[in-house]
Amino acid sequence: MSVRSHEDYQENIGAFVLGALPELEAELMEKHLAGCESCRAEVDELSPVTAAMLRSVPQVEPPPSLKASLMRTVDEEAALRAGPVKAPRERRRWTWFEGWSPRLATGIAVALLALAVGIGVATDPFGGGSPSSTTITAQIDRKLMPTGTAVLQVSGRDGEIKLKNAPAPPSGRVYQLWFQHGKTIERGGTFKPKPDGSYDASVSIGSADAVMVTVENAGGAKAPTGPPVMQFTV
Amino acid sequence: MRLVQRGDARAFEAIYDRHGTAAFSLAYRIAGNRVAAEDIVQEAFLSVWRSSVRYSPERGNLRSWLLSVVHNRAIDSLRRSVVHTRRQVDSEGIEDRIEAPELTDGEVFRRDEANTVRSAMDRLPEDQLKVVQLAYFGGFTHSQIADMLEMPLGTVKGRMRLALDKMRDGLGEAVA
Repeated sequence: MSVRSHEDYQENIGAFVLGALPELEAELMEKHLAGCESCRAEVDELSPVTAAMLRSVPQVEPPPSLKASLMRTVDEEAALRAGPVKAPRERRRWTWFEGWSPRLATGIAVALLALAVGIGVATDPFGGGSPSSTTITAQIDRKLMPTGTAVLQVSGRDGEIKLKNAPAPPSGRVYQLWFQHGKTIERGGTFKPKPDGSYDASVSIGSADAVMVTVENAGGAKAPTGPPVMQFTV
Repeated sequence: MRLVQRGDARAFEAIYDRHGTAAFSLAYRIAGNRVAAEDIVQEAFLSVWRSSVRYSPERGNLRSWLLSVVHNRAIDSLRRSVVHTRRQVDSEGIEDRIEAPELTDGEVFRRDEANTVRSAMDRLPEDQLKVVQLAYFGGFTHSQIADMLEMPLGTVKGRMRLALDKMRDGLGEAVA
């Protein structure tokens, strides 16, 4: 390898700051910077520009499932670090959300809320709720979903939805979740009940006021296209 | 952050709540799809949680440091990817851009700063902007960019440096 001059390194500073030097060249640059005050000063002067570029990208909401998955791992590892005193709560990952991103649809909440009727807090017919959780029974539109029951067990910012005897959606259609925050609706994932009509899954409710389910075309919709077949008011 | 390093899951959750959107946005900007962006953010935050990368205040503010962790992961992921060829790296195609309806003071500041940075980038000549985007958000090395744009390596290096100098001058206090 040829010996590099100070000017060679200086010429590479822009590429170095942008992370565009091949690994070996970047290592050589770092060694040079350790002993070259003027190049180091130039790098220090330009580095805040790239840091600002990182903060300037258009904002895109992560799907709630990302946090749910991340926190599941973190909670489990925290419990392990703390020893066997507190076992992490058994949770299934809400895989319906995978690959999805939420979409806030301002205004649609108002229309959907108009369809909502009384919601009851009931004893849990499904069993298994912890003493600190609240079980909310779904208000179901029986014209759209003639059979089945559903509850949402809420514990803090998390919940577990449990369906029983729910009919399969029509061919080519799926159920889709929506999370209402005030006047906005956040898109959730799609799902189909098992052949026996059951479905259990954990959801990250966060600050949602209500959780709704609609029937949508396979693949899901960006905003609800019809009235909710069921709704839980949190 | 000290609480996180001591294994406090709720402190970690608070950090995710505060910076998760910025992290996901950056990962999505670089990876170009949501599934890859989720993997990148998950890996990055878990590396922070597991203290395989450690924060110290000398490295700048926490948000900038977290974003640099995400950026490194995203670029590594891109470079590992066999489809890392002539991927489009412009900002079009981001369908789910969301403006928060109500912003805190901190969010207003960050939005204003982001607008300032984007304006400074928009003022760059197109040839300079392109090499910056290909390098920083596309993960391409200077020689790959030279091949891609069919121009001498020295020209690519020069444009990178010119672009950064102009950005620094344009941003002034905003990045001081």
